[in-house]
Amino acid sequence: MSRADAKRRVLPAGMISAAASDSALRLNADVVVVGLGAGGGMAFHDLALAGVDVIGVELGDYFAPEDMRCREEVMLPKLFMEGASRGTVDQAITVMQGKGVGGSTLHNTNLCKRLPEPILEIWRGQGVEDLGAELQADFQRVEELLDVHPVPDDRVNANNHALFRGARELGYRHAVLSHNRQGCRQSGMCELGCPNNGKQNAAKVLIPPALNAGGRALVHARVDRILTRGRQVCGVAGRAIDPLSGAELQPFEVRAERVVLGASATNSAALAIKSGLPDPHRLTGRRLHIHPGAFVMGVFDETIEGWKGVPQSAECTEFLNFGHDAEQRVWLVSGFAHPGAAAGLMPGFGAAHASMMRLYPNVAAIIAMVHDHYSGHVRPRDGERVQIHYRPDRAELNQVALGMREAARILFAAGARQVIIPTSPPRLLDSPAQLDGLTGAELGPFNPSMVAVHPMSTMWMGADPRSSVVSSHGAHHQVRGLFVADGSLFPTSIGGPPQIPIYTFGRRVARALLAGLPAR
Amino acid sequence: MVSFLRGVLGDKPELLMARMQTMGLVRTGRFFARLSRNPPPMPGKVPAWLSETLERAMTRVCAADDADFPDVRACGALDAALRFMGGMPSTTQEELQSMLAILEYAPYAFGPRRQRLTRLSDDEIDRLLLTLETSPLMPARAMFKALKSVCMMGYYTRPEVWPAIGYSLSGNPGVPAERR
Ligand SMILES: Cc1cc2nc3c(=O)[nH]c(=O)nc-3n(C[C@H](O)[C@H](O)[C@H](O)COP(=O)(O)OP(=O)(O)OC[C@H]3O[C@@H](n4cnc5c(N)ncnc54)[C@H](O)[C@@H]3O)c2cc1C
Ligand code: SF4
Repeated sequence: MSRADAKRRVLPAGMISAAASDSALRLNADVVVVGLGAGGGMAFHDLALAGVDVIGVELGDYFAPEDMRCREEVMLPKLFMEGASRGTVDQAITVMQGKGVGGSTLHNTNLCKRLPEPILEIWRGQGVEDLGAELQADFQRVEELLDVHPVPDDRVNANNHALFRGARELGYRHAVLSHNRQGCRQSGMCELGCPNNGKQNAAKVLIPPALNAGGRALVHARVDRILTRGRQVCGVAGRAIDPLSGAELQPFEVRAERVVLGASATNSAALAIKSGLPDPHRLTGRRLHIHPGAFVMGVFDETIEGWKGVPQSAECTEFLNFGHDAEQRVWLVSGFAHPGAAAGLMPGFGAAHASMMRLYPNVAAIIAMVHDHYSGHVRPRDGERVQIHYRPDRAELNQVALGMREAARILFAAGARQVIIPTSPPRLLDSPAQLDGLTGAELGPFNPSMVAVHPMSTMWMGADPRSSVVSSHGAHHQVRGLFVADGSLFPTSIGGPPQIPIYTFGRRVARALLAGLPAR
Repeated sequence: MVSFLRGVLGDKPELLMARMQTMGLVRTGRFFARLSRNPPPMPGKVPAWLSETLERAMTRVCAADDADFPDVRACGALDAALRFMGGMPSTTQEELQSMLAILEYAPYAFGPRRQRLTRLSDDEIDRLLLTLETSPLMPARAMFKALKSVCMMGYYTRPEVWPAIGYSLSGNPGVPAERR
């Protein structure tokens, strides 16, 4: 995209493209928020509505509802970090994260859950404060703002019904999930961005009111450095990015005495490390949790067409326990993918793979997601790229095996005539009797193929600067004026969908920041 | 060239992988480009010899089981795959292209025959792909995974392919016609 094209782009009032500027941009504000996803978007919203002079800086593009196309090859490179090619350094686990105004909430599947009490208890034990009534009140206000409600029965599609049927048959604990949708027309296109503007996500609910209230947004702008003066933060600097070619353009700088990091658990930590922020206990970037997951597919006689309708509405929590000594830590949730991604998940290649793809309309899928105790770490790479070091150990692989076995059992109980388990080589099973041989001992990198969509931790909260990166309200322990407001904050993995907790902590961080601003 | 590769790699895939690890993916790709007197990987524009490798590999990765699947070459799958790659950061594009350069010469290390990939028969390419997919060497598996994901994204996103797998957007009332 040429500079002239960038200038012609129609953006909402208050939003400018760094790519459209003729020369290096220099802006000033009271607060700069890096990244406009769940956490950053909420902080931007609350600060702007409180009348603070705030600029949100976002690497990705702005997408109007009419920009969303129902085509994977068009949307995946635009909506996902690294053009949907992000993975662990050994490439064994694909890591999906969003970019653009709205961040990962643009393409997520809208599941909503609060943090479970046992997780809050663990966090309290690690020194995180104020996790009581005030946090629950914040959850409630966030849920109201985002219109969170249970998925209505008539919106549960055949793919999700399969999970319910199987779990019920086996007597496993299961439930209908809540979501944040209004105006949804059940297209099933959630992970490609909603073509009907039916998601109550950050882009729809938070950014427009923030801009109306005077907040400014700078898009196509990648922050590469957090600027400091001694131990005080004083702004951010980076480069404009051409939204079409990804080419680096002119530099920009935003000067502010307060900086909020909302660039996600991977990119915020990478940015902090790249900027050389003081980190005397070498904590930043460690403790990375990702909820690694494997897709287990059941082939049914009846048509499922799982790509139609609300993608995810059913969960099974029979094997999801919390606590250091929890022996079973898998969250089972229905899943689906459009043909390009589904073909990548289907094992093998060539004619045998093509034959399996013919079964696509008859497939129901369950994702076995591990509430991980194992943690990896993240380091910066070039541009938006990060190094994600994460190779599950035996304990985690045992959980993956447990999850795949139980997902398969549920699918058989729901009536599947065959179950496909994505091990290497793949297991094509005709009965649950064949499941017991599947143990963590046989698993390893690329076996099974895994996907992660929930990076967390890396700049976690706590009271003690020797064992945590930020305070219980997101203030950096070492750098004055620096706050963290995204998934990096979580001291542990949470074993469920992270967006509501991240939105909520984004709000709490904004409140703490506001309290410290000089009276205006 | 052939004897040189034989000298460097012998029959041992480990040597190719060790070379990749010490030199880095991109430098290994450039090394193969120089050796074969071809243009090096170029973010933004895939050199013709590397798109030929991708297309040839794609014919086998996405091989049909019956005639109702359209031919890879007839349905624009290569262009779609190249566009998909083009949406990645330039450094990732360079790495993927380097991976294609290495793949072109991978048969010298992984078999089944000392020849460039584009000169192998269908059956030979299938054997090579299986070797990569199941190799105990992690970089070989990573190479297979990256190749598979680009090929599948190129081929299965083509509307011409969808009738064979029962997928359609027109049968989905939630998908506005102008967004298909
Ligand atoms: C396919 C998929 C489905 C999901 N489904 C659900 C679900 O159903 N329910 C749920 O709770 N969660 C879901 N999630 C996860 C959830 O969306 C994320 O956990 C959450 O959005 C993360 O919030 P965040 O604020 O940490 O980061 P993000 O929302 O990812 O936002 C980070 C933002 O920072 C920007 N950024 C990064 N680096 C820079 C930089 N250097 N300069 C400027 N900007 C930068 C990015 O472009 C991005 O916009 C899903 C995720 C995926 C991938
Ligand atoms: S299922 Fe609903 S929310 Fe999801 S993309 Fe379709 S219309 Fe939008």
